Amino acid sequence: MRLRILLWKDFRQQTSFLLASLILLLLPYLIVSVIFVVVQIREQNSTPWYDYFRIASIASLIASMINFSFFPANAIAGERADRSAEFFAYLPIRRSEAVLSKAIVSLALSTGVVVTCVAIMYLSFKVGRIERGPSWEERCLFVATLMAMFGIAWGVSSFATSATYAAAAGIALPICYGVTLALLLEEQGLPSPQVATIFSLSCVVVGPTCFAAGVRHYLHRVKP
Amino acid sequence: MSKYQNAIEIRNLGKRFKDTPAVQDFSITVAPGRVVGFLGPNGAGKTTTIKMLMDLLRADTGTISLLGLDPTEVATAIRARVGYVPEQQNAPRWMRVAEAISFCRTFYPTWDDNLCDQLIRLFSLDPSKKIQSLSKGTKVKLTLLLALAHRPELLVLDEPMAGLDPLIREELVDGILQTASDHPRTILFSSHTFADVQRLADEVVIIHEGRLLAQSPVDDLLAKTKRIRSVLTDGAEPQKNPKGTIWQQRSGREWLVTVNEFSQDTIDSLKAGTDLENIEVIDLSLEEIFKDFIRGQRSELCA
Repeated sequence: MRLRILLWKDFRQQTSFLLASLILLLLPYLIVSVIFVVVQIREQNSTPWYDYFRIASIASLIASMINFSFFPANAIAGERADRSAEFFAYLPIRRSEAVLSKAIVSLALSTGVVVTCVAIMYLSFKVGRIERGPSWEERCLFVATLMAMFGIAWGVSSFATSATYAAAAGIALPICYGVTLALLLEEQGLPSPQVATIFSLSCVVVGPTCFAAGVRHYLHRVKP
Repeated sequence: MSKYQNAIEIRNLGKRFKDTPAVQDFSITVAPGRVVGFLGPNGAGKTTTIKMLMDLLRADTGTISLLGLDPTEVATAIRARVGYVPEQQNAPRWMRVAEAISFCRTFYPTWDDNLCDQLIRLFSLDPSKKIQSLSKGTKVKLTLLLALAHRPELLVLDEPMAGLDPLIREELVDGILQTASDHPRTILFSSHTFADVQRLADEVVIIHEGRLLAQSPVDDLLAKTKRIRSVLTDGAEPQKNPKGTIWQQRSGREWLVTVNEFSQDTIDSLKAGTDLENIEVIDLSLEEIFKDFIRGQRSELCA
């Protein structure tokens, strides 16, 4: 009962972010639909609609990645920013219950949105009769990046009082790290697949480490 | 018989923010069932002390015992038995009043639905309203309801009436008195409204620049603290302050002295040391006593 009501509270805390992410996910479809209609009017033998659908679904999936930063960033720092963290701090809620609820909600929402986008992308592949989807290496790279984004945003959120900084860190740090790594290693003659593997492995280490550090800090922090 | 000797026991509490001491060597004890007014000027360390009591801030030195337990070790267990109304009302803006009540009742095993309904009626709260649409006074009422409805053994209020109009203050005081009378509980509340303190409190604690100036039952403080107005005879100079002087002021030949251990001996010792005329003993209100304590500290004239 306690965990259920905490889950409800944390879900409600995230609703504005959920709404924003849904708008962001639908935006590529809207833009592509407009382009499709315009092209159809101008040219008779244009590209089939499912190609546009596929482009929109890929763009939507890429946009959905930022949810792995938004939701964990808002989970802890969001409550500090609107000062409701102080209200919850003097209720008899164990920190472990609170952090578990926040982690479940953030992870469920982030994963839910991305899984939906992946499903739609595969549907677009099927409709367009595209046989070759992403390779295993690409899938691993995708998942590892998401892990890093989630972990970093969560970790920063635990220390910060602004969800904006935590979300920015979750998005920017993996990108900066990836670009720097690619530039340094490819300059030394390392092939791209190996650079991607090194990046994926370091993301798999950094993400959970930052997440664990965030949890530990949240459990031991005295100030709300 | 209480399970603990003191509801609140603070020993040598200290807290610094960088180089600024907020609370210094602060010690008080509050017996179960007492209503204590916590007084001090702005920045005296009241909120810092209360936050350390609630384990929302960790002390640098000293120990705290609430209801016989250490809040740094069993904060969650203590919070289930303590009602707290902070200075700032921080209930989530997106919640409705009914949702906030339903949310909080989950965490208190002693939540009393009947009392909650009574308080909703007493405070005229609309359960369907969103917290973001409530006025400051109504937010305080809601927070007080949430603090009272689980029948806490200890109620801690940090300037709850600050900035509220007299009618809402009256309603809040009535709510506190109503719940305190049907089930005796310890209350610690900080306030700048002396009428409320005098109406509610059994005793007062006065803090200034993080240090304890006085802890005394209100009746004792009013009975024992007097201002003595006298006129110095020509050329006479006050030789020494009487015992228990908390403030003094000389203006021409008029000499005002406030003492907090007044007795007939005080007059005798004044007369013995200095040539005085027209000695007059004046009763003081709680507010005047508080002001004299603080003025005395600020002027640093008193030993």
